[in-house]
Amino acid sequence: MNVLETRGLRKIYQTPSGEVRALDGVSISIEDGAFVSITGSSGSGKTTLLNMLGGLDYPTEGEVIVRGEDVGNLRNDELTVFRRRNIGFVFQNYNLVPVLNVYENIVLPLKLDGREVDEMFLESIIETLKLREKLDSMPHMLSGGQQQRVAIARALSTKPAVILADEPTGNLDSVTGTEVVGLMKSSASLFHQTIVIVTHNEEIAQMTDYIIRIEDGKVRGDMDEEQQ
Amino acid sequence: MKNNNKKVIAQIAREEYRADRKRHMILAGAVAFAVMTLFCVFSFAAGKIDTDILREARTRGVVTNTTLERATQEQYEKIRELPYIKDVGKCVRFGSTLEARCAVVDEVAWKKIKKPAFTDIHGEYPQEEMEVMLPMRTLEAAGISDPQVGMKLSGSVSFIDKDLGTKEYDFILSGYYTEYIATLIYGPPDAFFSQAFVDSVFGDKELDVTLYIRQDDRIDGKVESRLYGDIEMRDASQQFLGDITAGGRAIFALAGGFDTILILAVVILISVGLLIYNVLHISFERNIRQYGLLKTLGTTKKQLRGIVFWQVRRTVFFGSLAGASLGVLVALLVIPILLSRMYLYRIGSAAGMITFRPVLLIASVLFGGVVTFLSSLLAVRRTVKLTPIEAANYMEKADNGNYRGRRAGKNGNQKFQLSQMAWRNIMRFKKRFFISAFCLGLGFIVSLGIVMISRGTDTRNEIEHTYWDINVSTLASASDCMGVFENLSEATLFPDELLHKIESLPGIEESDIARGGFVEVRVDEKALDLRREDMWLDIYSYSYPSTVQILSDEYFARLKTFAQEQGLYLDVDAVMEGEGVILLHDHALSPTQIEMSKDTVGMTLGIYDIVSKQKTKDMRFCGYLDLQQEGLPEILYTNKSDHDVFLLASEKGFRNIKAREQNFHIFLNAQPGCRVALSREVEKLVEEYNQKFKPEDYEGYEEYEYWDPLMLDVMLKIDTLQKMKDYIVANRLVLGALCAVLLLMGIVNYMDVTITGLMVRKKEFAVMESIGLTRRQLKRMLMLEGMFYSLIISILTGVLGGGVFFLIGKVMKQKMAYFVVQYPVVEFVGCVAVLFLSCIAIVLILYRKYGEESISLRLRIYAD
Amino acid sequence: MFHRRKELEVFSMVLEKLINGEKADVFLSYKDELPSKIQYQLLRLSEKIHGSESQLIKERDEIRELIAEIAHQMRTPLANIESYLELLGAAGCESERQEYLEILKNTESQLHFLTESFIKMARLESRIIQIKPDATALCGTLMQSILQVKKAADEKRIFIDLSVDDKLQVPHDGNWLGEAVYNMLENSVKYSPMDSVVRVSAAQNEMYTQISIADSGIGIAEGEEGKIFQRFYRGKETDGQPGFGLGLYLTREIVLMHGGFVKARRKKPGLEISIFLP
Repeated sequence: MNVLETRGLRKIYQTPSGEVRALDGVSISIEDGAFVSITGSSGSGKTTLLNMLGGLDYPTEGEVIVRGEDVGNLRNDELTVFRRRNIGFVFQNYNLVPVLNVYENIVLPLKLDGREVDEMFLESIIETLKLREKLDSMPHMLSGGQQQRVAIARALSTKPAVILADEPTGNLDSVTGTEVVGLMKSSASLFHQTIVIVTHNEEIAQMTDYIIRIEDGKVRGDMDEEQQ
Repeated sequence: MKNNNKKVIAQIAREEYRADRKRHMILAGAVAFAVMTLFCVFSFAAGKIDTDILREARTRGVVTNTTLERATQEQYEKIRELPYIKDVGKCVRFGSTLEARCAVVDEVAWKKIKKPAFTDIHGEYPQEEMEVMLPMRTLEAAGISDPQVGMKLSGSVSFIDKDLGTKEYDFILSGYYTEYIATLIYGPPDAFFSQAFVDSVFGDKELDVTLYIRQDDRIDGKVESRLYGDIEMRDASQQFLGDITAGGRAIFALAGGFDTILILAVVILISVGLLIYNVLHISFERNIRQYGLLKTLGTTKKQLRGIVFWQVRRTVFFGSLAGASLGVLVALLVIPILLSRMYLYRIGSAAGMITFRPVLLIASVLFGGVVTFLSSLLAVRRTVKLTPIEAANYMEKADNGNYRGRRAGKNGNQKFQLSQMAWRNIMRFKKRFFISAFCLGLGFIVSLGIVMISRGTDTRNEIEHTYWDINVSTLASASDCMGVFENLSEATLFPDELLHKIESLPGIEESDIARGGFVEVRVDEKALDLRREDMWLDIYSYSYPSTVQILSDEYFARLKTFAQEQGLYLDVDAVMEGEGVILLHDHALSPTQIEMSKDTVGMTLGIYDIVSKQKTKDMRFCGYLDLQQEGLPEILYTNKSDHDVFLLASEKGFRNIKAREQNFHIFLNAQPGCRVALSREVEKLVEEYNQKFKPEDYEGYEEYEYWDPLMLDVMLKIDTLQKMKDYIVANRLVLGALCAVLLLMGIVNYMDVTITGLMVRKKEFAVMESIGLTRRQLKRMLMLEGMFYSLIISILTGVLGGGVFFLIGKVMKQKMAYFVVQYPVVEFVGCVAVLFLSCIAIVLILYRKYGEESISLRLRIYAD
Repeated sequence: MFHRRKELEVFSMVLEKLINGEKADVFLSYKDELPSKIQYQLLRLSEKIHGSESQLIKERDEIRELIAEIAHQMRTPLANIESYLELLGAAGCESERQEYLEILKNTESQLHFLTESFIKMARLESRIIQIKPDATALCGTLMQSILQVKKAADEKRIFIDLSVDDKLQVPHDGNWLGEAVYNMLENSVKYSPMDSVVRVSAAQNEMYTQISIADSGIGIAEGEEGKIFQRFYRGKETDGQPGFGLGLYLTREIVLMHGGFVKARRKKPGLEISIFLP
């Protein structure tokens, strides 16, 4: 089952100096439970693609289908609610709400939807991500790597269809970065979670099961594949 | 059905609020200040207007307006329905009693028109047949110095209706009141009777009803023309007698009219609103990124709004509470103290004044709340419009973008670079900078503008403008020549030698003398038909003393032009040729009568010598001139009463009349610096002269000076100013306080913006320090920023303000002849100085507080 | 009111279907309202209940694939045996017979190796084998693996440098992890030149314990860092060397079962492979 799919996705900006095609006909599909990376150089369109997948921006043309639902049909608040229930996010930085502590940050998306917390599930996430001692801390007291772990925990807490991570290791040193991605990988298999990482770091990309390469808004020829 | 996810919104809002307490306190402070300012400013203004109305009312014995005598029931009803008329009261005067006129008034007239003019009212308006309410003066004249409500009195009433004569009654005192001296001028006070009494005496008989018509205070000027248009007069002589309301006058005195006040009020509201918006806007910028993140995580627009409103609610609550409390404190303490000083002795205590108006308080609080909510709504709209990614990246972009800095070309010394950086920092967010500078500048301009207006409308200016420095005049008028003072006609009212003595005093800048003489006219002259009503007619005599005043040819020339422009029914040529006279009256003709006066032009008016009673000349009657005609060139006229026949003639004409020439007045203006000396000299001279007429053993009562028509009266502007001094001073205090509050608001606004701006940039400073900027350098740079900012605001205020002030001067001068244009330069300089000082002070204070933590800690904490 | 009742009726129907073991189709709306949320929750419930089905199917498919691959891989050695048996039967002289016997022996051990590996894989794959994280002293486990490969290393005069804190503790299954490390060492030794060094190190990071084995051998091509852990994958540089491409695959599976992960990094020259254990 494809949990994530795009068909003929295009994003075109009008600038004073002409048309800019951030995405030019991208059609990909990602399977349930896959740990995938999208790579490309700066400006290749990978972040734009991520935004599309996450319903953070609207495509000019084409469709984005998440868990069988065409995201393009949703508007504004519907999109927000859809995101809340189906997509988890990890960003490069500014991930956490600074005024809430770690625990509150983790359960935030659930609370936004008025859902009950699955305590056991949450326990296992906290264990896996080794966040037990930090639950009461405020975000500014954590290191970069720790913040990312909290972000991952938060993304996992709602058991979303897919977790999208935008340069999650960007602000981290290579050891921490490796660990964070490794964690994501374990979480992916442990919790049977689909995770998509956008990165320009080849090493990190190689840690994933499957790499989608974007250049100039298009997917590049050879798709390296492997089934888990 | 809403989702069950309320708790988290309140939680986020609460945590955000707690984390950012300081900023919210500043915002609350802004709201408090706004509420307090609005409440105080409008309370001050309302208080002043009310006080002025009361002053006016007490001076005239009635709260203002237009009267209609001999009104019909129909007219009464119609007038009541007119939209621009606020109240109509009925009054019937049917006789007189000791020192007072007997009157009965209806409820409206009592409550709205008479009562407000009195204080120290004891008891109630008479209801029962034998109840009366008497002025203290009557009671004192009857020998009762300590009246009690309910006591029995007996008194006599002399009815106007001769058939009823004078009757004795036993009354019960239902109440008593004190009226004020000034009413001497306007006639004796009223003794009030009950409707029951009147009914029992007169039965169904129709009595002359006078209507007191009070117009809406917002109407500029007199409503008579409108009333004439809407109400039909019962006959040719019935007319509306009126004036603008005391309220209108008070408003005029404050700012030149209701429209000006309205504009000012709107501008003040806008300034206050902008103050709040500014602070909110700046402090909200910080949160945009966080809200973007929240949106990404699945917070809907509604939820975001909920978060914002939760916080705003709390801020507004505390701010309003603080502002309202402070405002009430000020209102209950400061205002009464200030305003009560506006009362002179003789006009009564301030007990009757209302100082605290809950309506204004509620309105101010509401305004503050509404503006805050609206501003926050606007701010939220901005966030929710951005896509989450844009919002999440917001601050970063703004930090780097818009930067078209100059490449580091020159290797200047350190100071030079610092100022460059300071300048660039300010210019970084061009749009925001100019908007906030503009708002602040506007605030200052508003305050300074009000300073200018209040200075210009100062009562002192009114007095200076309206009156001559010194005015010596004869007390006699033509009507004095009848009856007791018959010898007057032969006397010299104002001897030439005295006149010359006065004229030759040193220090006179300019002078003017009004001359003329007394003559007689025949009562039955057709030309006087329209005037006859007001004359005191005596069945025994056809002759009527009249005053003729000489005006210069030059004046008549101007009058001629004026008459032609206005289409007045006057024949000025004949006057100038010495063949005619013009009758001057004080707004005594109804429009119908004015039309009828057209026919009088050309009629003959016989002039008779007042002593010999022989006809000296048949003059051509040249028309009726209304003293209150709009735009009439000023006439320095002599004493005149409503009953006079007052004629104007040219030099030539007067010689033709061959009346005995008298000096009526001399008006003097002193040279600068000589006013006091000159005034006292003249006063001495006149006093000496007057001594001749006082009996040796006379010891004057203060209030009832000895009076002889041969005496001269001296009016000194310095005395008028002195009398009004307390009022002027109090007025200035009040308006000064008002302006100070507004100026303060501008400065607080400035400080708010600066402080919030600095707080928001803490991380930036930590970064700069970490790369090598010393604390001293940072401090200096911030001060430079502040100074640049202040400089720009000052320039903006100066330039824009200059234009605005110029406009204000022009407009106000048009509205009020006595408006003095004085640019608020001193205050402006003061503002600028305070601006600069405060930017330095703020930097120093804030910096001391925030510099303590280590850099790395700061880099993390403010990582937001 | 009316509207709400209808919605509740629909929910009831859906729940009934689920109770009966049927799949339910739920219409989804994305409003921030209670009914919308319930729709979503019903859908998730349905997925969960029927989720295990697809999981089983998936696993079954995987096993099928594994069997197919195994069969495929075994074909070649089997074919070899057949041919050489024939040749043996037809052999003339003793030397020929010896030669063929030799080849047959080799092929047999290949098959043996393959079979053993397949059994291991199958067991791992079907989770029959449990990882028992009893051992904690990493040092000992590493030393053991090194000893196992020493012989092959000495033949090429490759020096194995071990730097690890002997107090380093990390919960692991001594045998299985040992095997994982052994596979890595075997590869390093196989693809390193004579007289080179293979460095083995272990260190505790914030989250994981990292065990790295770095060699200066032929390394791998760009973009192969992930692929080398795939089943039956042989790197482009490996032509000439015997192998099936199973060693690293097994390593990864073992590490995954420990809850960790593996990572390869190209060096100049050579290759560094790291195991991360939680």
